[in-house]
Amino acid sequence: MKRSALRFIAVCLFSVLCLASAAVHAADGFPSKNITWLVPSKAGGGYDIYARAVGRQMQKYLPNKVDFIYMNLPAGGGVESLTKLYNAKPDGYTIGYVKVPGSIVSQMTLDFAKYDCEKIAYIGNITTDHDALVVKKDSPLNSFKELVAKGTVKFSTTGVGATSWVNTVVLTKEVGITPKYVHYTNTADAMLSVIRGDTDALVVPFFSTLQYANSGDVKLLVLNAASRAKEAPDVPTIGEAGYPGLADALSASRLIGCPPNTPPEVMKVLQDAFWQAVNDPELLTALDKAGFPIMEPCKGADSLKLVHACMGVFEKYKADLVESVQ
Amino acid sequence: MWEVLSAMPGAFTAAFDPLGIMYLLAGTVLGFVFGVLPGLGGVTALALLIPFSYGMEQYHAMLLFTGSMGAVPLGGSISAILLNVPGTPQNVATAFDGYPLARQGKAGLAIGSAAAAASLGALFSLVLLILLIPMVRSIILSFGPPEFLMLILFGLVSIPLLTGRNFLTGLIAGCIGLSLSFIGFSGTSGVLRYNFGTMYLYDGLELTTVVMGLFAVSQAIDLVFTGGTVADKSITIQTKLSDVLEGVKMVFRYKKTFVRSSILGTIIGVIPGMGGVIANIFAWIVASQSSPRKAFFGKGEVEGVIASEAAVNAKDGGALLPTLAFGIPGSGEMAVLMGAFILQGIAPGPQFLRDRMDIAWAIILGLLFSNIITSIFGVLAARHMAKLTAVKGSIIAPIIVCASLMGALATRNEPIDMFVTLFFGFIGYVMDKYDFSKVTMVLGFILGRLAEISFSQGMMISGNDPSIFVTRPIALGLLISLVLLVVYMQVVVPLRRRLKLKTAGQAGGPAAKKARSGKQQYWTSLGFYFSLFVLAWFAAVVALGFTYPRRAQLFPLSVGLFTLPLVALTVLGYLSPRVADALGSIKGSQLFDLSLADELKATVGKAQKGKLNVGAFFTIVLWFLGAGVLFYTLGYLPGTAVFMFAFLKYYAGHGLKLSLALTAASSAAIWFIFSFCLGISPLSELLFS
Repeated sequence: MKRSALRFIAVCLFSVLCLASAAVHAADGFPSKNITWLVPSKAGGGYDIYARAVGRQMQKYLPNKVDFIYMNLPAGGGVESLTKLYNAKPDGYTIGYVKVPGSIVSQMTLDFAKYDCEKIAYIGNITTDHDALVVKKDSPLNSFKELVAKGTVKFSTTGVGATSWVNTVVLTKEVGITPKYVHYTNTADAMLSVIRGDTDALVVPFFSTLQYANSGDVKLLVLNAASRAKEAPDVPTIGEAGYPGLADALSASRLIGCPPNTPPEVMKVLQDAFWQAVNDPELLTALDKAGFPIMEPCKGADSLKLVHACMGVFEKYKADLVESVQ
Repeated sequence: MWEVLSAMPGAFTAAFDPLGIMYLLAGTVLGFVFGVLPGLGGVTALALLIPFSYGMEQYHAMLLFTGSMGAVPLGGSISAILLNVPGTPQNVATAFDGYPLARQGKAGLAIGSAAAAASLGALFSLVLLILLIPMVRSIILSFGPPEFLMLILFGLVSIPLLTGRNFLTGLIAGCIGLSLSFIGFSGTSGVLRYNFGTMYLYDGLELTTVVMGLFAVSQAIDLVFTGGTVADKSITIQTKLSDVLEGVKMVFRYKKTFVRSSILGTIIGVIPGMGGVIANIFAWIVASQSSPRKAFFGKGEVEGVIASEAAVNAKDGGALLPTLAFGIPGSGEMAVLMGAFILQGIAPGPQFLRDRMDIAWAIILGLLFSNIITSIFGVLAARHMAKLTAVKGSIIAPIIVCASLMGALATRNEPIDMFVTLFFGFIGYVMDKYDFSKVTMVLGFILGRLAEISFSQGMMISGNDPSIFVTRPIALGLLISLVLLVVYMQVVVPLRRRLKLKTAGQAGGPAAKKARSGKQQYWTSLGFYFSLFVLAWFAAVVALGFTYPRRAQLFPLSVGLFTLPLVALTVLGYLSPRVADALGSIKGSQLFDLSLADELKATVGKAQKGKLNVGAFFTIVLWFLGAGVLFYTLGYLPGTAVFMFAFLKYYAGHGLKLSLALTAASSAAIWFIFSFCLGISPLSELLFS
């Protein structure tokens, strides 16, 4: 009895040690352990959904079998997660999002955003959304022109630091609307505010509006893209509404990258796995069905171009952005 | 209505094939285990399952998810009842009556009633959910920022008013919670507040971390001090199945409370941002105020367990509504579930209930069956689990500490969370001993952010006209009922009591005063230092508050300036017996009856004999901090092994064999859950990478 108890303990300890050492010994070369993915939204948010879906697919294409561990850091419209990424060890085991234009504008306007998007080592761009402007279904406004003519418009945004905020500021400045803001923290709340009639309009990615438009709760007035969307062929583009220069300025991209100075051989492994993942038909159909499609993905080197373009555009709106949160 | 019901049989046959039933069972087991363990809960369980569900058939994935969701609350209530450690934040109020019952040897009865209330609560809310589907639009649309603000105000004022033995310290506790919610980035003003220069606090404090510290770690300290077992040695623990079934019957005896709590839970579930914690606590409060057995609540009243458990399980049904109908998660679990939906190619939103009623039914049935399975298991296993209350506290305490540290780490992979959990554990222990309501603090913390956001959104909507908060009908109704409640509790009730005393011709005053007049030396009282600490904290809140831009100042400054004089009063209470008497007579609290020296003398076990008693508390603090440091530097597996063994052998004085066996068993269990299931590295990166 006594001996069997001791034997049992010995077996327990032994198996614990074996399993622990198995966890430590892994394959050679990058990646040899789990990779942490910093996500600037709560679990279930758009960034989170893309991360989990793309991460799952990237795992298939990485040379060694490792997992992605997702860390949700929604604070500061993504400032927290990007600051953490910027200061992490540049070994490829921490990756994270750069929101374009959200992260870049935060860097330019919020004093505690201490990072530099130009120095991030980019893995690639998952997708580029185009925004749409929605109003309540029984709103007296029936076209973008009428909205501009109204003069003063109350906008919901999905939060200071979010892309929706940035794009609203730019849009209103360019077309000459006097904006009032009500900042929410997510798309659904901001959308409800419009449906409830607390605010007049909302600018969010087109695919987030489709559901609400199809159910007849809201109507789309304008799409910030170069061409009309096949899902909503009646909605005019911003160019057709008279502002062709705005289409590029108002897109939103979800870049992922590593801390500055991550070794190029590590970057290559991640970039290759990423590129294979975002071109995998299995992933593309699953995300398409869910209403979170992958559009205009690009490779690491091209991501930096998006960042530079964005920086150029937003320099002149700095003052308006700062003012909009007062 | 008919279209809604007609989709059910099809969904049932499609979803519940053998494989589907297996997934449901697997999810249920996982959810139950995650519920029992402090720190892990529905959110972690769902996040863990998402990658597995990829590529799975939609119905099966839904059964897997809802299986784990439905099982979590009852799992959490079992640790709340047996150990006073709420397995998830939403089981806080279950412990109010469940734990006293366990101490009386009636853990089986408590678990039986919790299990029955859980299943029936879920069933009730799902029926209610189906009835509510046609109205869901108008319910959700009628709650905007002004209504939210009033709802929160109602909760924050009514809770210390109704629950606390001491209104003053209850209010202070609520304000501590509020002030903690200001930490981090403020979403509406774009200002970073009270982060003290660290990036760790950008997103504020994590709820699970705070709750686990306040309730689990502080209970571990208490178990060590009490030395004995949960159930008193002199009491025979009831371990017959008939005792458990007695608990099941109780739900039918207290059917009014059950129905009221289930309705309350469902409604709180429907309102986004409220969630299980609030449902649990509110239901308990409402029950404790409206029951004829009022006086027994908090001392082991089965009705209290039924109220809180029915509400938590009813909340899931309610929370499904906004999630499915508007894509707005009604609770934390629903937020993750929504992400899972989307990966499955199901988009929750306005069209969902119209187009995908089959999936909705799979979810509803999955939730229901998961609850029933868990409850049956709970009823059958309750009498065996009740035996846990006969295990020594000094054995359970280190296990609770290790599990809490791991839970803290697993929540968001942030090692500092472990120390924050420990910190709130120490604070929670002191708060308990000096009547600062921990529950009110948690509510303040949960609701503070929502209150501030709702306020500023309301002001932005109305163009800075505050009348928006009192002109919308629901908001106005809430405000009026709040005012009536305050008048009733603070004017009518004391007046009636005084009249009663007069007619009875006796004054309770002198006796109470006598009890308090024992020699008090304030510098030996931990409560005195705690009050000083709180005073310093609020001074910092105010001082820093002035440095923020105006739009970010209003809330911190008003809370800080409101609380400072209250805290100053309690500090004065320690210095001057006259102030203490005046304060004590507000609601006859025992606030100033305790000095640390007396209290520890009475409770510290043999191991500490002859040592300085104030030291005993700090000895525990150091041991637990040691565990945190081990976890941080070595990693959790060596940390658990070293801490468990050292604590059992050298602090608690157990034999070598027992210590070794327990260490091995708990290390293996923790490894299995955290490395095998959650993929957390067992060794710290600090030393081993």
